[in-house]
Amino acid sequence: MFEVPITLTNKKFAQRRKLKYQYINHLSRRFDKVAKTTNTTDSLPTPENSAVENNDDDYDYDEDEEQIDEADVYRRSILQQTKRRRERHWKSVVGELYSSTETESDSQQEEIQENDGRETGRKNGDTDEERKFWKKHEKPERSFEIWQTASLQNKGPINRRKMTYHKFQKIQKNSLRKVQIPLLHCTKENRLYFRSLSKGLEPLQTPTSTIRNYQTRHIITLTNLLHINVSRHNWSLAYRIFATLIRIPEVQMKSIWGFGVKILDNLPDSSSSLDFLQWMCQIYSSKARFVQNINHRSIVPPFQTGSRTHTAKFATTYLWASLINCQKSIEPSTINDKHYDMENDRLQELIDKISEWVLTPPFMEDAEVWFIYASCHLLKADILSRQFVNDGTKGDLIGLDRDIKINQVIKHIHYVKVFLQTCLDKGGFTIPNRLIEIQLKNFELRLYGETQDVQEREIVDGYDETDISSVENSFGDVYETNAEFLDTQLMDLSPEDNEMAENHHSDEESSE
Amino acid sequence: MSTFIRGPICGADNCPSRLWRIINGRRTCQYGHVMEGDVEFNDDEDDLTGLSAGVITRRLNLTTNATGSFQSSQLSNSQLLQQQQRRSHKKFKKLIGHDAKLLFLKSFQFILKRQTCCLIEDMQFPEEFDHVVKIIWLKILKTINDQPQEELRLRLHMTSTISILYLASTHLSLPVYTCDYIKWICSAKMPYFQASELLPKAWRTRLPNYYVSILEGSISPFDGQLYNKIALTCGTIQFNQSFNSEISCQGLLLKLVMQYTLPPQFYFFTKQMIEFEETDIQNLALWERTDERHTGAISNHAELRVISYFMLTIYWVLLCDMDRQYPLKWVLTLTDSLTFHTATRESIDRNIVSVVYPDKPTSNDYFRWSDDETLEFLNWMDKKFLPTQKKSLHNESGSDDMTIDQKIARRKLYKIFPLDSDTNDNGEAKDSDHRLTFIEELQERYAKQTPFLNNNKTLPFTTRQDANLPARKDAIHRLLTKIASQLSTDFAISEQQLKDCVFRIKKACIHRMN
Repeated sequence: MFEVPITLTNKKFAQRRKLKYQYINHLSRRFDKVAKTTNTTDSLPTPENSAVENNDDDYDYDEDEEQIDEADVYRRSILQQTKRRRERHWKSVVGELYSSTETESDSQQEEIQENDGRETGRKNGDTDEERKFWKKHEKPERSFEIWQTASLQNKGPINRRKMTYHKFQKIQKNSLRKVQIPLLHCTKENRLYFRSLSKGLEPLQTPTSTIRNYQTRHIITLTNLLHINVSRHNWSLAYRIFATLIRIPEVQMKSIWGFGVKILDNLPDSSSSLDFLQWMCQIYSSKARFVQNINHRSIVPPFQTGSRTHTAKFATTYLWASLINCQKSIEPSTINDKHYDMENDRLQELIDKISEWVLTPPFMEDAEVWFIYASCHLLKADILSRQFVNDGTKGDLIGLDRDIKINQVIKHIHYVKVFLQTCLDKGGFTIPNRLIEIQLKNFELRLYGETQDVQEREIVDGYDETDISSVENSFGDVYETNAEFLDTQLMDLSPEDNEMAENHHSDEESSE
Repeated sequence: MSTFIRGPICGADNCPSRLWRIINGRRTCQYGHVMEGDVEFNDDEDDLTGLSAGVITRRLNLTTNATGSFQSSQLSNSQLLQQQQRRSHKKFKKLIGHDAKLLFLKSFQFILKRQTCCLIEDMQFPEEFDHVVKIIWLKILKTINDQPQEELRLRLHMTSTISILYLASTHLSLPVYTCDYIKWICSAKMPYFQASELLPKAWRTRLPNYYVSILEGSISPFDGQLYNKIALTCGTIQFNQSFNSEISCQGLLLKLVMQYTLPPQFYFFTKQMIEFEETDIQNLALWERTDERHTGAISNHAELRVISYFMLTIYWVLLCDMDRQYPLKWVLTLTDSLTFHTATRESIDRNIVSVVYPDKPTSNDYFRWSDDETLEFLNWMDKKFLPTQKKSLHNESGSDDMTIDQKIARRKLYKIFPLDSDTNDNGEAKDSDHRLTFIEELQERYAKQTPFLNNNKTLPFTTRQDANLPARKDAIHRLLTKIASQLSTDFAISEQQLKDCVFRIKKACIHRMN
């Protein structure tokens, strides 16, 4: 019923998949062949189409050739090979920034595939029909949708041709004949499965409903029980189930870590979920490249593990959670407290950690991590600048000490600005830029507080309580981290600014 | 691009960096501090001669281990090499051919012995059981030995162990049936699944993977596989000639009647019917199958015949009764009581068994489990199931195929999620206090029914008045469907097989009556 945290590999499933993809690949190959001979120039130029043309101009090569005979096909394959070689060369020079994620083995496979149409190629084509199929589709790593490819090497014109039913049947018959021999060798059940699939029917049974393996049965049961009990908010029972489940060696932690975090959060007197997330980061933060030609069957890849281009979700969760944790624990303590020092150290530790992380690939390119980094400095700047507000009453800091402290605050404010800029440059993450700028301005005002104090007081008097609370309420989860300056600082804004901030925020929400 | 290596904290001038790179052979941190006393010398002789040709430095590729300190890649490489060498060493090499078969027989015997010991100790089987198992096993060995060595086929499977044990218990006329064996193996009371883990390590490493996978017994027997295997084993050793092959039918009947809390009359009804039908009591002996390929009719198996008689009796008695002794309401309550879940040991065992079989209607029962039942299931998981898992915490000695890093990671994870045994024990003690014993539960279930059984015929009209009650025939059918689905799970046969069997018996009975 629910997703099982193990890889279900089985002779039966393997055979099914192999048959399926063999059939599909053969079908599409036949289709291409037929479509090409009937040809084509009457398709309208689309943006994609022309983009391909422009690209290929460099290589003296024309997309819209009238008749494509064997020689041309050969020439084209050679041209593609040189193009690929050049791409690889560029990649080695420019480094990882080069966008396409083609690997060595990919191109080799493509060659095999090309040969396959003409010659036999069976003995090695057989093994990776599935990979061949998935290679044709680009799978965005973040989401789980399958796109009909946008990568450059696979780009083609939009298909506008019509096909007669007779021709379609001919293609289908041919492909069916091709799989006839493998069908002879497989089990009755799989044959039935394949036949129904190829007729466009969808068998109702889920993969888990037929598995008989003793151990797997128990894993399935435990997973279902876990889902049930988490949805019932039965945390102590869910904890027992989770703890049992992770002790079975085959279970993959990376597909159920979300449950673990949630359970630890909700269960009193258990270990902290931060520890667990840290453990996840230590064990599963992979920097390998995301492989396109594998069917990531069950779970969206970034939820499972990181890659060179994407941060794993547990890593960002970890950063957010520890930032919120720092903020919450610093909030109530006063500056002279011993407790405060400890928490401050923890914040410093977090900053150090992120500063290391952003040096390495997946985090380097992730705008969200940069934003968290900036938020850490924002928090730090806020804490440091608050000393000056207190000063107004006590008047302790004078002279050199004061200058040093001011410099510290300014340093952090500078960092916030720099990192936010990096975050904006990386793109893909909407941030309340203007709001933060106002915050930073306020921190600076605090430093030279004596002159501004009077004005501040006046403005504060100008607002009544309800207004402030409405501002507070309008900020959702995203601002939990910054909550402490919301209540102290937002009152400085003029009414127009307030509205703007709100609007900005709502924009952000809608964009997310 | 320069590559940074994660390492110990730099610490010079409170430098927080933990990232290092190697510049000119000196390990330098991210902010440019040079690590003290860590210079790589390049004192190879050939370099001294070829200085003009450009210096070639040989660099250790450093990786970090789980504790964060440096670990040289060369070291791990050499370790890997050592491991490989050790693996290819003769002592750890997989056996092939005749030797492998011999080792497999030895391992099989080892597991059989463990199972027998377990039965004698835990289930209070008589001491003689051991001898009988031995004799049967020797007979099987003899048939194997009689085959020509070139085309030696062992035809042993984990179900063979169960069939040997079953034959032995039949010979001794113990009231133990296939349903009991299935219950024991599914609830891990008897070694069956992952039994290869029990083997001595030296044997396991040398046994070919094919045989190891047989001894893992990954799938519990289904669709009457166990019966087929028993019949085949019977056939190969000509069990009927030298042993007592008559199943103890009375015990099975009593068990069935109690399980479904039927009135005791049903025991005698069924018994009479069996005596009427099977003129010769020898008919209830085990069936010897000699044909390897064809499993034959399912009704050949004596136990299944008894079950079919039982079901037929219920059907006919209730149908002919016409509300005189067994009113409709009683049938309905009985049907309901079969789905009712309790947290007794018996029903927990039944839950576990039903979870294992995916194609039965009972397999999704856990969606309706109560918290107690779930907790009991988890307790069972901790105590019985997890110890059979090889790489679990419980037997760390067996986890050799994990690297030290993986082990550390595992241990850390288990520390985050402790399965605290203290609270378990308390809960266990508390549970055993208020947990019903089998007899108490049985009494309670019978007590619940008595108001509906009108033995003194006081209220013969009540049921007829209720318009919204289903027709009597429907109710009986529903009851029988329920019983059939439970029986098919307990005896590991498919419902279709049970149906066929009942149908055949019914035909035979009617034929005989005419």
